[in-house]
Amino acid sequence: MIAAAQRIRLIAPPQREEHPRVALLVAACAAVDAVAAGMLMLGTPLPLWLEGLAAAACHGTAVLLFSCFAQTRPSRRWLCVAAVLAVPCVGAAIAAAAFVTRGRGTVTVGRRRKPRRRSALSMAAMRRLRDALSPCDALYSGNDEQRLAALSTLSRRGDREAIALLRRAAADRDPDLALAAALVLDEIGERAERQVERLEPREARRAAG
Amino acid sequence: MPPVDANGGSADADVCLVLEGTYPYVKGGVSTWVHDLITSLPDLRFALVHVGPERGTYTRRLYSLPSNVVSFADLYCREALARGRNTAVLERLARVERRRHANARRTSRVLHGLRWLHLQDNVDSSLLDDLAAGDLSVGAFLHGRASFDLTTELCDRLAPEASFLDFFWHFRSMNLPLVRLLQAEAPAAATYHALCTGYAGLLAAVWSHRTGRPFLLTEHGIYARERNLELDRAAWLQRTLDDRRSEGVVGPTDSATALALRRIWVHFFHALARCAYAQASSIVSLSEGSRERQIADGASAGETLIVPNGIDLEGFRARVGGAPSRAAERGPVRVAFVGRLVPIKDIVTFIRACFLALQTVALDVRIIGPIDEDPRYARRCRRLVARLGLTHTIRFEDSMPVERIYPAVDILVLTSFSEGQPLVILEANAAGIPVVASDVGACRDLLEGRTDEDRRIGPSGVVTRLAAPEETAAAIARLARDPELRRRMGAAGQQRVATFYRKSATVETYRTLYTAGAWQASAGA
Repeated sequence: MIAAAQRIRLIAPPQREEHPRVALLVAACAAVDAVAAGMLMLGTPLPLWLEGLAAAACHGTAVLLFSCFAQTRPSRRWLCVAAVLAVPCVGAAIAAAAFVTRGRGTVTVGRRRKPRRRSALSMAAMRRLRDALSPCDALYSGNDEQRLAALSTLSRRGDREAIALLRRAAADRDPDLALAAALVLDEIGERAERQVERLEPREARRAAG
Repeated sequence: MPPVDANGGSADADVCLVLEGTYPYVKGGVSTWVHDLITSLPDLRFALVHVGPERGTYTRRLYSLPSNVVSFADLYCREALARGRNTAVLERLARVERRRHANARRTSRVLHGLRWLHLQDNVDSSLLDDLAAGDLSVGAFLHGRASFDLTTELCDRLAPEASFLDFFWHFRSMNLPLVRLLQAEAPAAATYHALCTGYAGLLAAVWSHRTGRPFLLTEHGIYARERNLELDRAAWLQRTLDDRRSEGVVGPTDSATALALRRIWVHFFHALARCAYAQASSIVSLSEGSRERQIADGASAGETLIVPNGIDLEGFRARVGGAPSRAAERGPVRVAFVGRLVPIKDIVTFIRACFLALQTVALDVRIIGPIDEDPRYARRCRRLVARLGLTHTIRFEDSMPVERIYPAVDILVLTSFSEGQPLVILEANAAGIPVVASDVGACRDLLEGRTDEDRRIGPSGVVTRLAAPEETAAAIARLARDPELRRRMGAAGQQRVATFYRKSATVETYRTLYTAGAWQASAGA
């Protein structure tokens, strides 16, 4: 079975870092890295192995500085640390760029979700499916329990078809059916309102960039 | 057991009104009706009995009792064995009760009656005889061997597929209030009058059976059907139905148990209604639709009658003025909803309808009514108004006297899911205001006429489907665009109220019912 790939949108939350502090940190890292590079390129009176060790220690200090003092989300911090570690001297500049850049929430990535394994239907469940009436038949000619189950199903679905069926039922001459259908329509409406309320702040954040 | 919390005098009353969850503790249509009826019959003495769930549920009386109320008593269905929160005392009392009843095998007539109530569909005087015996104490019901044997027998016969534990607690929950109420002593009265079936209806029926005094039953809504609706929306049942698609046993109650319990509850409420119908000498409803439902639920057609609510037209006109205001013919049309902000009134549909109507006509909309009963729903309505950008067009206003409402209204809208016979329609019609109302309760009777003679007057408003904002919007827009139609409908409403919905006629019918005992067809309603 082909696993369904779900498209998700990444939205970067606003950053609150203070730029002067970041600049100071980047400058310190770059300076420590420059000392290490200078030691290697210009040479020192130390033996070669000690010189190498001192340069490595300086580079390590730069990396440590970034990992300990950079106040940002962990993912961003580790990205910067990786840049400083991988590319001496220039890495600090890359880290600075990564630090001050803000996402616009326009990047989409595909996330593969493992399909949920459905449990096999029991005989009782299969029998129930075989004997079940369609929601429409259950509403108009089913007994109390079938009608109740149909209303529950339609409420859960809440799609166009379900709403159309419920509206028809709400206009029925049977006052009990009309009332029950109207209440389910109200329930679907309330759920939709709640969903809009949940989504609205997120949309507003997106619009604000 | 005497009625608890009785106060006032102990003089014999002409009428004992048995009320459940309403007057004088709750505001609303039935409470207003009761208060009006008592004050309109000052020469009759009333004894009031209010059935509530437990002490503390209702604390503040929202109406002051008229002077012709000679006694008032509160009965609690779910009273604890002892007052206070001392667990040690409660446990000791429970142990004593258990010891006293554990081995008592003697069955009681009330238990026999309960068995019948659950197993049979028919009701006769021997069932009421059994229930009226009142020989089952709460302790014996909770701890007696005979009571436990009945529980197991009924579980086997009514819900063999259900969990016994769930059945046990539901069985106690539905029958304990009955056992407790059946022990209450009837206040002395010439007539017993219940305002619903259910526990209050059965209590009044039993009191009438014990004393041999007539029993009058008035139903504004159909109690058994309202309880069905509550059951369908009960969380324990809803959750189970939602989970049915996956497998049988999920959630706190498995679906087989939940459905069996629902069946038992539905049967129980219908059985209570049948007991009340069987004992009642007259069964009153507000509309033909309700009367048909009563008959379908077991009421004898010959004992049913429709007594519509009326309005004190002269008093109303003195306060509001008879002719509708013409001030709005040039400005936006003034539309109002008058009622409590509660879900059953479906104000959301009204707001959506106004939003749609505003695309074509200019409206000034007011939602007038108390918001404290369901603050969550009130918040939902306000949020919807804000989201639709209508905060300047739709205003929320607290309840106010009628003389401040109707002179400033051109169209009244009522989008309720459920109504008996709404007083606001009568008031609007009396003020010459056309009404747009959903097709519930007696709304169609009120707007289009109940009899041929009534229908000849013409419509006094537009009836719409339930939860149909487009239809309501179309009706509002149609009326808003056509002042002549509004005038014509308003005039028809005034004529209809003046001819068929006079309070004096309602009061006189009840006086006859109270004094004559059984309803005589010639008495004229």
